[in-house]
Amino acid sequence: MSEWLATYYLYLAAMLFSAGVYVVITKKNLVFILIGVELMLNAGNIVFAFFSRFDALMRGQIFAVFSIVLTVCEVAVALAILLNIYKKQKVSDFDELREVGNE
Amino acid sequence: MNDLMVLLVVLFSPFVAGVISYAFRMGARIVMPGVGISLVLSIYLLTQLGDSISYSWVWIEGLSFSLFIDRTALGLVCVVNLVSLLVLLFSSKYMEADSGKHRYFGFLGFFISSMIGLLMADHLILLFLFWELVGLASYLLIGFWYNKDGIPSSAKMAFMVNRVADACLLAGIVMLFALDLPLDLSSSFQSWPLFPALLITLGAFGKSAQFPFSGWLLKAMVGPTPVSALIHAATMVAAGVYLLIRISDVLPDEVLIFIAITGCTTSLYAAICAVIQHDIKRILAFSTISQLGYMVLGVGVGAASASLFHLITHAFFKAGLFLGAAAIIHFMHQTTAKDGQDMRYMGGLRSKLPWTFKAVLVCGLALAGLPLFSGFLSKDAILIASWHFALELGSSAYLIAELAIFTALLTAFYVGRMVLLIFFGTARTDYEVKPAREYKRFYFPLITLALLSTWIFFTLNPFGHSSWVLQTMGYNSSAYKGDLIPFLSVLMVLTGLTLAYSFFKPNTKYSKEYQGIHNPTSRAGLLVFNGLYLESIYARLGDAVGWLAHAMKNIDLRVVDSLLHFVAITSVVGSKILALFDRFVIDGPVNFVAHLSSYLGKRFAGLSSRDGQIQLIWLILIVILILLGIVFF
Repeated sequence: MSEWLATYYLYLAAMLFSAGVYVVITKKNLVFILIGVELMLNAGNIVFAFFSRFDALMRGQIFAVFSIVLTVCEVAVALAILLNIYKKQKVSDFDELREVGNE
Repeated sequence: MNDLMVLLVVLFSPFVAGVISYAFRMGARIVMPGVGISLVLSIYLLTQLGDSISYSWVWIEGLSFSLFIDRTALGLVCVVNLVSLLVLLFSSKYMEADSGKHRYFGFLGFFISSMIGLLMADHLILLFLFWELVGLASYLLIGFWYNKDGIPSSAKMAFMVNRVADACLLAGIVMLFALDLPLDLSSSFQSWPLFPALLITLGAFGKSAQFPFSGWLLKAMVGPTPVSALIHAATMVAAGVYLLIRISDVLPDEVLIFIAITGCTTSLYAAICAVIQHDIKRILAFSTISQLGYMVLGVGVGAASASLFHLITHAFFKAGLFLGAAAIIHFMHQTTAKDGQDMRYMGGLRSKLPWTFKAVLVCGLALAGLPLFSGFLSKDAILIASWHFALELGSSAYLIAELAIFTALLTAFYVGRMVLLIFFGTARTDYEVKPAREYKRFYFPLITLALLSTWIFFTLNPFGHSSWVLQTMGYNSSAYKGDLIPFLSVLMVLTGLTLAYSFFKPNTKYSKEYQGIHNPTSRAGLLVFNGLYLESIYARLGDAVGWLAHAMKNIDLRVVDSLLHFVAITSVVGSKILALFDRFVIDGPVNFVAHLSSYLGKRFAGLSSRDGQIQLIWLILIVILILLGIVFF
């Protein structure tokens, strides 16, 4: 792969990150915000994967795989929390969420 | 009883008697014994007295009040008591019908005690205290008939003129005190400086009615006539001469000459004024001023003992004259409705009041200074002394002696005029022959005083000027041996009496038309008749002081008050301006900062919005800014 092509990975990562930021900023729904956060996380993963090209040990790609696994766990936990919040408080809007935890 | 106790009894018994008289309404019954006790004890002391007694009490540290009684003082105490006793006896009849007589006798007791205290005082402050008490008592007595028209103001004027002189006296005393000179008269040997000596002399002039203070004595005539007798004879006016006699040794020569000149001019001017008066009391008042002038002259020419002698003889004959006048006035009030003091309504009183006539005649001749009467002895002593004084000083000093001798002529003239116009000729008013008669209590004091006005009580030789009185008082009186002066003065007196007789004898033109004579109208005549207008001058001075006070008040109102208003208004305006300044200049920036910060605060308040996502935007923006900063700087 040429150097010229390589920068497109970074553009892609930047776009993904911006989309994530946009989603987090504009969407009120907690689930969407979670999705936006995931987008930004994956943008990070892409940057990791891209820069591992210049590393013979490919430690970037390993870290990306590791990160995906962690993300899965995190999403599972976060969704569980969101569901519980929704169940308990009937709230799915970010702005209306007043407190989390002991009731 | 020791001497001090006796002295205190002498001093206070008239006062205590006066208080009792006033408090228990006992009148003369208690005051006369009080004064009698004082008289007897003072005579007893005089016989016992060695040289002098003195007592002193420490009042404040360094300031002790002391009494000093030598033979002079004690002799005068005896004279005061004797005259007062006779006046009291007279008053007990004279004031019998007056509703305020208890007050009258109370005041008299106070008056007599004050005078005795003055004679006894040695320390100048103590003397000043009694001096003021005498002034106060005389004021109370002059204004005794205070509800009659004009009397309170006359009493006030007499009092105030005295106050002016007293202020001088006090200033002199304070000056002596400041100069660290002894204030005890008995221990003053060092000659006083000119200025305090002059001030104290002026104080004495005020009390002794010397020019220009003489006007008050005429105003004092509004009091009851026996009071005038007391004031003129023994108690009031004698105080000034007594003080001068006491301090004559320590006065500097310039002051003595000033005293001589004042005495001489006063006696001359008063004698001239006395010649044309119609009011019997005014004649006597002017004659007192004139005789006091003689006494003051005596002190001035260095013959203090002669002055003292004249003071004593004058006390008797002037008291006699005033009591005689009182008897005449009493008679006039009882028999006619006319002015009882005006000689134009009198005449021919010799047959109506024979005893009064004899007493007044004797006293009058004593006043004129005819040989065989007491006045001759003492007045001649003064004339001789003034002649010696003139011999010593020469030139213009002769004028003093000559004027003094000329005054003797005038004195004889007005005495003759007075006696002739009152007692001789025909009555110029119809006297109703009502109960008017002479009372025993009137003519007993009169005769006593007349007898005391003859030579025999003073010396056996009617032409000798040494008297046992002076020897008793501790003076060597043989000094007054004149060469021709006694003859000259006798000549003067005889001339004066002859002139008076030729003008005013019964059936002359003048005495026939006397009732119709009006007060003089020419300018000079008016000047003399009113005694140089001194009383009006005092009134003018009083007005001037009042005017000055008014002017000061106006200045106060106009200038000071408007200044205050100006200051007040200015400060109000100034504070308004300051308030504006405060609001706009001082508060302005503060408010501006406040507004600015509030504005900025509102603007920046969005940063911490409750909207979590906006915070997130800010967070991202700031992170980007930081990153840009790291990258580019």
